[in-house]
Amino acid sequence: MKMNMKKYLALVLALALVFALAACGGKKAADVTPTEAPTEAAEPTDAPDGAEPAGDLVTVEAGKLHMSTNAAFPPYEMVDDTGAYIGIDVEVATAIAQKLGLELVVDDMDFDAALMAVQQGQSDIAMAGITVKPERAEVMDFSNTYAKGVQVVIVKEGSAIATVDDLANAELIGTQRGTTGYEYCLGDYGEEHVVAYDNGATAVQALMNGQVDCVVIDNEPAKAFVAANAGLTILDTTYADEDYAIAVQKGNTQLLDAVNQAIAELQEDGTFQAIVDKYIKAE
Amino acid sequence: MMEAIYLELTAMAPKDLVWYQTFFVKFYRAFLVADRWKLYLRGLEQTLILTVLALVLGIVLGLLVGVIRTAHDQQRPGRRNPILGLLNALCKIYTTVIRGTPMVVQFLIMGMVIFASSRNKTMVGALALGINSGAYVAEIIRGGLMGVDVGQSEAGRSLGLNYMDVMRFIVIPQAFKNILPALGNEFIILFKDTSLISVIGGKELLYFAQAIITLTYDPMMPYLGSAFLYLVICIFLTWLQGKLERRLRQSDRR
Amino acid sequence: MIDVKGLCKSFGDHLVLDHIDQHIAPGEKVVVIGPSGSGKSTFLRCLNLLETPTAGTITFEGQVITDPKVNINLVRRQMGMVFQHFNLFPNMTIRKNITLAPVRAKLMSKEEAEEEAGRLLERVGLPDKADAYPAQLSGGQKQRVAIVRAMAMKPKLMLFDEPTSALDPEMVGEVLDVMKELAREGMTMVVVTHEMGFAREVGSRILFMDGGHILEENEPHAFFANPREERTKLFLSKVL
Repeated sequence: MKMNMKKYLALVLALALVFALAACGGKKAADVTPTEAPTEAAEPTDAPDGAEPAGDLVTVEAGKLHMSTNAAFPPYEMVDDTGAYIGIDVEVATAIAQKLGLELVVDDMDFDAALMAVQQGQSDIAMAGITVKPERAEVMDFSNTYAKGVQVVIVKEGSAIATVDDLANAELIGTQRGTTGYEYCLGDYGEEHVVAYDNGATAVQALMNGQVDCVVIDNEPAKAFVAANAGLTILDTTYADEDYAIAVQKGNTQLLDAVNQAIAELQEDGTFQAIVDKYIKAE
Repeated sequence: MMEAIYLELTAMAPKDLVWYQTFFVKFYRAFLVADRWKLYLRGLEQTLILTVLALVLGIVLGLLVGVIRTAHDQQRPGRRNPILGLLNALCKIYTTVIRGTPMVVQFLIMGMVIFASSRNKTMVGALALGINSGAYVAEIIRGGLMGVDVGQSEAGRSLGLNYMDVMRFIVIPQAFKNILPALGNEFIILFKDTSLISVIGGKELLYFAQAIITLTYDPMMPYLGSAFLYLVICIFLTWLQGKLERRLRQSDRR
Repeated sequence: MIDVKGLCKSFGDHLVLDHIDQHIAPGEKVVVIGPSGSGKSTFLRCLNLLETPTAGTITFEGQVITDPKVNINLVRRQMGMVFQHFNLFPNMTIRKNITLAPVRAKLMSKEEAEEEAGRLLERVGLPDKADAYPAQLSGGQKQRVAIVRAMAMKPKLMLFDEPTSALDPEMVGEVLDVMKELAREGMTMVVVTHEMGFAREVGSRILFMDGGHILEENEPHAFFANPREERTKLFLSKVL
């Protein structure tokens, strides 16, 4: 009797494993339509006025829009003095949620975990200054881009690293784990010259401490970090240019379409620019 | 040949792949593309170096603190040595602080505050781990030494053996046998705690697994792979511990 | 051989030994008896300084061993001690138990010590136990080994702390036989025991202790035949 139980348990476990693996494959196979040309979705099809009803939009939690992010990436997402989440991404997401008739819930985690969460359906959208890349598009779907990201280099004032070309001479480059900056640096300078931290703030702290020679990170947070820490400066030349977009789970076209439509509306009625202006002062 | 299959499969649309083909692609991408398996091995090597350095430091510190604490506690009433009292107080602060704060916080303080300008994360990590482990080892050793029947050291002393000989031949071997399970457990925990060093940018097995995830956007294979490597090492350590315990139990057979 | 003057020992506020004066001559077999808590074990343990006296002096072979400057380890080598609970080292074979101290003290080489251990084990009837571990021996065998272990140091004096109290009754005899043999060879012995038969047969002098004092002492025949003190009479009436 006991033996049988064990056998059944083993069988169930084995089946579960097979299904889990099959599911992983299946998810990938489900829908591989690459994100279509942005212009197409940007066209408002039937000019909506006001909040779009949620309709039959299915989210992780009914009535809520879960956004996974890494709230250590100013000015896109960060935590204010009261512990609330603020930033361009957070406010844009709030506006999108409003349009969809949903309530925004921010799930804060490491950047790489934020990407995972949306891939695995733990959150509805991921917004964390996520750069659109073909490899990422294979495992998640991207909305139309809503912002331009630039990878820049932060150094201490008077550093021997004066241009992006000098990165080749850097002994150690600090980055944020899971970001495109980390990925590019790995490819360009080799693993032994790159070190990844859990978030941008730690990487910048390591630069202040002298534990790394420079930090490669997105332009906007870089400005915020330089403003907050005396003695740091951003190199004039940029390391890489890229597009930011909102990620949704692979194959969730319903949500993707709704998000794209909301972005288009926000851009049209000026809400979007107002949010950006609030956080990024024109130079 | 494997590479040919991989290239063929990745050329196909992912939706056309059967699940085991997807599995193969993921596996190949996580471990075989660009010899990525070497990164895991480098990570494992770093993990083992960290473990050994921390282990040595932990044992030395633990033995020192454990013996001081025991010597202090076993003093006869009315014959208290003031220097021993001071050392004992220091040791008590050490074990209290270390056991009362999380390992991750200790890593962050060591990496970002105390050794804020050091680039040698392996040394900083080994130091943090060793200091942490020492506190636990000290308590284990203290328990072991106190647990040896006082008649044993009395018998040794009555034969004219000096303190060092009594400790070396009589008390420590008996204490060691008793504490081996707890000690082995502590070392396995220490081995696994090396994975936390990535919070200060230290490189070990988990760090490289995450580096590969950054490149492949697929967490399954790198995480499962590193878990497998941790598990294999732990099973080996457990086996080693069991073997040692059996050898030490020789004297118990009847 | 041993001269005890004004020996006091207290644990906290509790005075266990109260100004003991005693002289033990070479070849004497002093048997210490008395009710539990009378201080007889503490007295014995003070003789080799397993307990540090609170006051008083102990002189052994002309040397004041209570002086803190004396290397007590050297003194203890000349005084064997046998414990109630044997206290054999469980992590070592019987041979190692016996040879450890003489070899560490550089009294003899490892080979000599092992030869000596073999001879002594033969004498106490345990020639085949050299490679056994203590856990494999009976209580009586363990205590005989403990005696051998002490004798291997070739001590001038042997202290016995209730050597048969932890033994099953049928094993008491084998241990007492070894002790009697030792006594016949002229060893100076101080024995704390409840074995009145042994005290009468082997003892050259009986000490009766109570409340931290030596209440009465005499040679065994007179002691058992005509106890002087009321307390002694009461005690003997209970144990005999």
